[in-house]
Amino acid sequence: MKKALLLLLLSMQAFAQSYTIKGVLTDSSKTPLEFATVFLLHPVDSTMLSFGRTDDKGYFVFKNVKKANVTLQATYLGFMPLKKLIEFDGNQLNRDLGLVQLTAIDKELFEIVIRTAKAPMSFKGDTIEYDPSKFKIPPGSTVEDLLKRLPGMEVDSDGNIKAQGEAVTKVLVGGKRFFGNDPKAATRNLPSEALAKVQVFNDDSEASKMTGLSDGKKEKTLNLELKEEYKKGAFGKMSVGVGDKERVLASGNYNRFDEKNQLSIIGFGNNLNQSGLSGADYQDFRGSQSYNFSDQVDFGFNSGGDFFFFSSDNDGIGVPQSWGPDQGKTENYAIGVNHNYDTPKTKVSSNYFFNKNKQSVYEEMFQNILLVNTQYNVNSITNSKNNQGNHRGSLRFEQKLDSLRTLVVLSNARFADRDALSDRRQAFFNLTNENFRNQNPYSTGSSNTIQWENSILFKNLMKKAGNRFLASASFNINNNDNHTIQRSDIEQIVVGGENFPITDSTALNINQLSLGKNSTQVLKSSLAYIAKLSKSMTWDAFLNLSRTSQDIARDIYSPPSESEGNRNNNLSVFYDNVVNYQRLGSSLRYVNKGWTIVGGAAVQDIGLNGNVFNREGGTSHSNIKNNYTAVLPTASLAYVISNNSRVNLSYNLSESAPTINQLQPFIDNSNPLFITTGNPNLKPSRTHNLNAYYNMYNPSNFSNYYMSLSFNSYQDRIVYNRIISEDLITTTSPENISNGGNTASGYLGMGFPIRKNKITINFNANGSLSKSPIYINQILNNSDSKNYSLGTNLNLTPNDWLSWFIRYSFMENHTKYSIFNLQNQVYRQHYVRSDMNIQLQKKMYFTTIFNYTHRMNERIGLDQHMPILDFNLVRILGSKNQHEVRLIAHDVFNRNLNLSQSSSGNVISFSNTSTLSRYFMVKYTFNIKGVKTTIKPNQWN
Amino acid sequence: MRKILIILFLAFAFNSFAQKTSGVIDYNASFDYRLLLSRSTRITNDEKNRIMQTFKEDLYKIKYSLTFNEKGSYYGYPEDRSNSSWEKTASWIRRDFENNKVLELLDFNSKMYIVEDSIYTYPWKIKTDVKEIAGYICMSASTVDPSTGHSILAWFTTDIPLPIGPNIYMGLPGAILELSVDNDIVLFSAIKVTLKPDVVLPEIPKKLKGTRLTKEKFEDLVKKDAIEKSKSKRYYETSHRSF
Repeated sequence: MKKALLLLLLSMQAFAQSYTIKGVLTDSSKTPLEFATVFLLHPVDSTMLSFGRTDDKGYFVFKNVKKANVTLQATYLGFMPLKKLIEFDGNQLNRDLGLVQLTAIDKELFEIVIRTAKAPMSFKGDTIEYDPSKFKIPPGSTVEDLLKRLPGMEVDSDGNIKAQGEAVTKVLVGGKRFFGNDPKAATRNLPSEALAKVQVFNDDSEASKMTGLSDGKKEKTLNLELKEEYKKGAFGKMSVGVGDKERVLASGNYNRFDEKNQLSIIGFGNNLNQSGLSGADYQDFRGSQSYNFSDQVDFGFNSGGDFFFFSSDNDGIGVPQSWGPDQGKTENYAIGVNHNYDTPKTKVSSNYFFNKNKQSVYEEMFQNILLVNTQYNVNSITNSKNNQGNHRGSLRFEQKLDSLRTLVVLSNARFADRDALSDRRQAFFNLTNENFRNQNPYSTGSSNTIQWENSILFKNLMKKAGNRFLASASFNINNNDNHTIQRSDIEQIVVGGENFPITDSTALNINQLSLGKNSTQVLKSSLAYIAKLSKSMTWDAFLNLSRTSQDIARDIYSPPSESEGNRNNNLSVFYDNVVNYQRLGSSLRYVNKGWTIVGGAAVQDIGLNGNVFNREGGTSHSNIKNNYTAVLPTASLAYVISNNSRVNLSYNLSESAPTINQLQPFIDNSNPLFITTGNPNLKPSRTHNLNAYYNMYNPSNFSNYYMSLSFNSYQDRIVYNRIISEDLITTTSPENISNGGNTASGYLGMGFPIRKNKITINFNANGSLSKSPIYINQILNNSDSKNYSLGTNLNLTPNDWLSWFIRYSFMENHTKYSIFNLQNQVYRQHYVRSDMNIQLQKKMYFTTIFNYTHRMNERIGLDQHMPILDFNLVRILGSKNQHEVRLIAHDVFNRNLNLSQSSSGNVISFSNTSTLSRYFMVKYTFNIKGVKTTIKPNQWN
Repeated sequence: MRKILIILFLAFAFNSFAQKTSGVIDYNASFDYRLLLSRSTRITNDEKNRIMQTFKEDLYKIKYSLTFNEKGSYYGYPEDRSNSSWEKTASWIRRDFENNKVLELLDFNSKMYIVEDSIYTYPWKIKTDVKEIAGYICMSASTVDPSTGHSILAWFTTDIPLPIGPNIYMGLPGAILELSVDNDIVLFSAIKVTLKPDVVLPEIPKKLKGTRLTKEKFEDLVKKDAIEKSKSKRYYETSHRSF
């Protein structure tokens, strides 16, 4: 039956006359418009059903049109598009529309708006609409200023407006009259930035609107549509918190911004061990100038053939950031203000930041010190206090000189002062656990530092795409003065067992004043040129030049008062030193079809010239002059296996000059049982580095795999050799060891979802071997260290109200000594972390973090458990979600300590430092923009 | 219906505008992740403000070019583009008007797909806005991506009367010179239009590596991915086709 019906329908259709629409498109003077586009659209949603073009007589025809209402739309350059509903009429299957007339848009207007201003012009019926954002006007302009620039619009000196030659008699704002009948009230008072649209149309006259009788008169009308939200605003928040044990915090930040300016103020005070800004606060504070990765002034290649190196020396001149809680107990205050002026051409950023920290640390340390035939232990307790204040200022100016050239000027300064006190009580024990010696090193002092760094950087892109020229110059100053009183008392106790006698223990006691004065000036410059040789070859060359000159004075007075008679001429020195550094390098890079091959070399020359005097302005008693030249190769190979997996192989040789601290020929006797001296004869150390990695990421299911191997071999490695005398006075000084050992390590990591978006698991395995040589009493000791670790993460995000991240890791470290093989040891550590986040109600959240660490080292009897539990209950209040109340419980079991364990050379040590432990707190936060919180989406947040 | 439109295009193209049916259009394709994040419901207002303040003008930009003549079109990287060390294979789209065929090599979620089908189009809605792009007066049309649900706004010129456009988008009575996905999160805009007679389309390699799918099957994949990404707990809650 159905089939029959279908057949019938089909045949009916075949016999029925089809529906045709035709017509002739003309302008208002009935001249045909040829090759205009004519559309048939769905009358409700304007979906295109069919389209065609008019012929040279303006004729168009649509055949086989669906028998329903359609909209005809005709467009022709310079004419208002015409939209016309054509109702279906069964009696008119051959519909002839006759002449379809388009109205011309004022030619001049059309040309200016569309061609010159390149602004879109919309047509809604007979309304022409402009988009003000497409017209460039200075910020702060009024609507009148904008209108003056709109094509087809005229504004005279009295503020009268004409549109397309006709006087505008009505100005509407949002379709409504604005402050009475004066059209100028709106145009002269409103800021142009507030406008979303400007519309011009002919409206019925007020008289005809009132009477309802059309008088045929139309009034030129201007309608100003306002933006829903201006492109400017403010955000900020303020928090206060009170807890038990006098724990308090207050913090606030406020940011105001518009298209070009960002102003932010930040301040905080707490005794919760947060001394710097968190990453998020830092970004809020610095705004668009948070990260200027291209401000590197030292260019040249680095490991793996990456062309630019990112200097990682954080010398404390930048705004301080906290990456975790501080040690000990601290009080912190800070205030800062930052302003950025940001336009595509010019950027100016300036800021000032002041912070003050008071830190007190209580540390317990156990050290086991190995000697060739015996060993001893030291238990020590250290109380230290540190107060410091820093004023920091920075200025950055960036100017695009033209489309290819950019100039950046940077200036940063820091003024710091610091008071420090350290009081250590050490007890020495022999193998039979007898206390044979006590020592009390003590120091107190103050210092101040002035740092000033200035750079200028010029970047020039060449006309030929890919070619670049870079130049930089810097001048840095770092001056430091310090004043320290150093004391140490030794008490020797006679015991039955081994007692390492000191012949004259009073001779080892000190009570002295140390005055230090360091001043460093660095002048440096870098040049680089990068040239594209072909589609796949790039060549670069660079030159680095720097000159560092330093004056270092150290005067020791004993007894501790500044008079010539008290000066210790053996320990007091004045040292001036100039380091000249030159590097010239070049590399070639080939990139094609997933291959990247880089090869290059640099010639490096480091020249040191130092003079040691007995005092400032004194006669030189030695001169240290050294020159090191080296050729440093680099090579790397990378291959993209597919668009989401890659292998990389690289080799490079690097050479690093000894640091100033290692070179300066001072004897530091501030702990008379542990004397360190510099070594002006140090050579640079060299590292051969071989690296390989493979990684793969699958974005459709978020699984990833990572594998890496790395090998380092050290030549002329700088190590701190030790000489330990019979009475246990250790003298250490940096020296080069030609065959400096090596390290090899491997890493394997993978992560994949068990259920997509709900359960993800990650595994990682890590292994490393290292061989480190050191001379103890001129006997070479090699310590071999083996490290293994295994870890796994389980991330559970089953629904919108729960997320739970669990981590477990196990680590084992074996250390073997070639000359103290009885002391070989194994260190093990288990670590568990659980981080759970629950949304209890619409505006209430509960989070808990549990950390558990278990550390073991049988040789020194270490077996330590540390559970740390935190709770947070968060409630958001107010209709705009502007208020947040948070109940915090930190370290519920009161077990928090900073632990560290290390073994290096002939010393195994572990220490506990007291830190912020259990506290409870109520914290209230007000957020201007309102809090929108979701449960933690991933473990890193 | 779609078939009829395609036939119309061709009749239309051969009409009398032969000199305007051969040339190259260079596009700038940009991806604005700030805009994407600013519309995200996964992140807090504070995070949004921070991102907007910190990364002021960070757009990810790529240049593409569309080479066309009456017989077909090729959309891909411009010939003089230098090699990127991160990419091995790049997407391209070849349209063959004579045989009503389209062959696409598409990178979707870092996997290559070979999509071969007949030329497809979208239910375009024609609007009444006019603006100039690269010297051409363009009209606008909008549609919705049937797989990702993204809104698409295209500006096309009837002066180049071929149903061509950037990426997978096409099917209007003229070349698409600008196309905005999801209110400018992804924006293709023509920076240069060069008309010249007898343009030769770039050769496509004989051997293609990738999974072969029909357009329908490929769109199913995109649809599935869009649904999954919308459920994921990540910042980006929408899936965007690679461009």
